[in-house]
Amino acid sequence: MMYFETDDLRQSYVVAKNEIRKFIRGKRFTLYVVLIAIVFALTTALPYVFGGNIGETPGDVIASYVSFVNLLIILAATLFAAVTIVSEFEERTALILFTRPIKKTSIFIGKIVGCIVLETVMIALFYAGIAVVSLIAAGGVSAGLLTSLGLAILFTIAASGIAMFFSSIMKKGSTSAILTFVFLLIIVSVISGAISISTDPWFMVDQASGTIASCIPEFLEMTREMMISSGLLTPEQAATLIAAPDLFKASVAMVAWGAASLILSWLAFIRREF
Amino acid sequence: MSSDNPIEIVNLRKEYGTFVAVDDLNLSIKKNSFTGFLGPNGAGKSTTLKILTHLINATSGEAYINGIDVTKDPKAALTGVGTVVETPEFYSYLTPKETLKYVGQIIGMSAESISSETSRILAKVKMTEWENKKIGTFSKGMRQRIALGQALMNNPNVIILDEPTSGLDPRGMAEMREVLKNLRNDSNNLTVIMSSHVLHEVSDLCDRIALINHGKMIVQDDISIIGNSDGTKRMIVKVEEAPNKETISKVMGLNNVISAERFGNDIDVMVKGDAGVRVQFFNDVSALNIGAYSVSEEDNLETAYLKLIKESR
Repeated sequence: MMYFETDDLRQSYVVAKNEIRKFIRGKRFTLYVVLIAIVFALTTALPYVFGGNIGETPGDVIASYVSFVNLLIILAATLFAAVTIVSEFEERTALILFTRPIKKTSIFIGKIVGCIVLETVMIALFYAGIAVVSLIAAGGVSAGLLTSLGLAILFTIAASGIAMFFSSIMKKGSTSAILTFVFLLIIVSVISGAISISTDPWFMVDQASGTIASCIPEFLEMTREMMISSGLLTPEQAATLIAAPDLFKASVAMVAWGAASLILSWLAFIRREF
Repeated sequence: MSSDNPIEIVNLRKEYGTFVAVDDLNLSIKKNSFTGFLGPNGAGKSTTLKILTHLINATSGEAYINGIDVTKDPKAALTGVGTVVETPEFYSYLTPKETLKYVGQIIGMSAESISSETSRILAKVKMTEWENKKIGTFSKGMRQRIALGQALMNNPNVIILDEPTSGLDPRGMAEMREVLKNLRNDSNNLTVIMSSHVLHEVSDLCDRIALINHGKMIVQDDISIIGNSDGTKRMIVKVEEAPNKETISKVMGLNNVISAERFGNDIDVMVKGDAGVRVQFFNDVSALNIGAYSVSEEDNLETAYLKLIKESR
């Protein structure tokens, strides 16, 4: 049945609510909150421990934190979206949910919405924390923070879509989680590296998600200085290679990755039998 | 589809590569009946019930529930249907109350109905005491009663049970059977199909039987008719000492005895005839002086089942 009615949406909402509740009451969520708290606390405290500060301008403050956002999103997709479907089969809860009068598409929508909402809220809280530190340490918040948050949400959708795909085809949650993590962290980077020999791999999800940090001018400046001081790039090379990213192209790439992976995972899910 | 048959399966087929799990099966479940769905392992029972509950897709054929083909419109077909397939697991972080609420919300019940139904059902499956405890801590028997409870949400007129007592310990099985018995006795408009390997449970609960083998229907009829199809009863005679050939032949020589053979330390006897004949058999065995101290009538369904399965090979 391809058509979708109001009642189907209502059921998706019920599934999404349950999905969020499931994660919030689970150990994975506690682990994720602890990880975020550790990253945030270390980034904030360590510069002061070593006699420096977190930054003097709002841009500097934000630049210190945004480089971790990619990893936090990948972790969120691994912990939540990568297990959301496969766990129904592995833990046999599908025998309750799937035998009710509900379309598989409603279940799928509820699950992806639940995951994306939860992951987005967690990332938004991380950004809220950055804003608070920026206000305290530098007396204001850079507009780049919102741009970065917008890109982070797009990457959350793309990463969750990829995780849902693995979740739809794998038999075990652990396999799906490992594949998601390795794919997002290593495999796409390897592919991007290979593509970059002949062309600009802007359409690859790792390149696109890099803009979450590189959309902050101060982050780019910090990166240039690091590359020059470590002797990896000359100032001229750094100015050319570490340039301001094309945010539109990056956004299009992440939306495309999200849409394609979600369509594939939906197709795999609705054909999957118990 | 006949309004007398809430479940109607027509030429249903399920193939896994070259293996045919369900072979053009036809089955009608009568309204208000409690039907035992029987067959040996691999007969196609679970596959059929999984198609009915939309857990797997049929290769071909139709499976109607309340007149709606589940293979074409599963959402509409499963409305008003309660299911317990195998031993389902629950979201361990939910309590029984929250689980029933979740199911109620999925099937579109109002908040008031969910609240009243939850209390009624938890009482029915004897789980009121644990309504606010996390299901993750429950025994298998308790979980299976919750499984039955969620199937009862919104007063379904059809319930599909796939081996509801499988994997339970004797106490869990007895508790589940009692709940099912109460359900049968208390409901006016309820049709149940229940697959099971436990024949005495089926004898106890069901009024009709559908027996399949190799994915094909062997027989479907009232349990009383199937159990007494040829008027033969299986009797077990217990004797003090293991029976020898002479003892067996003495029993074989009695009136109305069709067959007699050693069954462990007992004698397995097939007797043809009514209750009067069986009284006569009891007296005759006692008079044989073979050390008989007990004569018991075995479950007829088991005898009929074994015979029908043997014939269908």
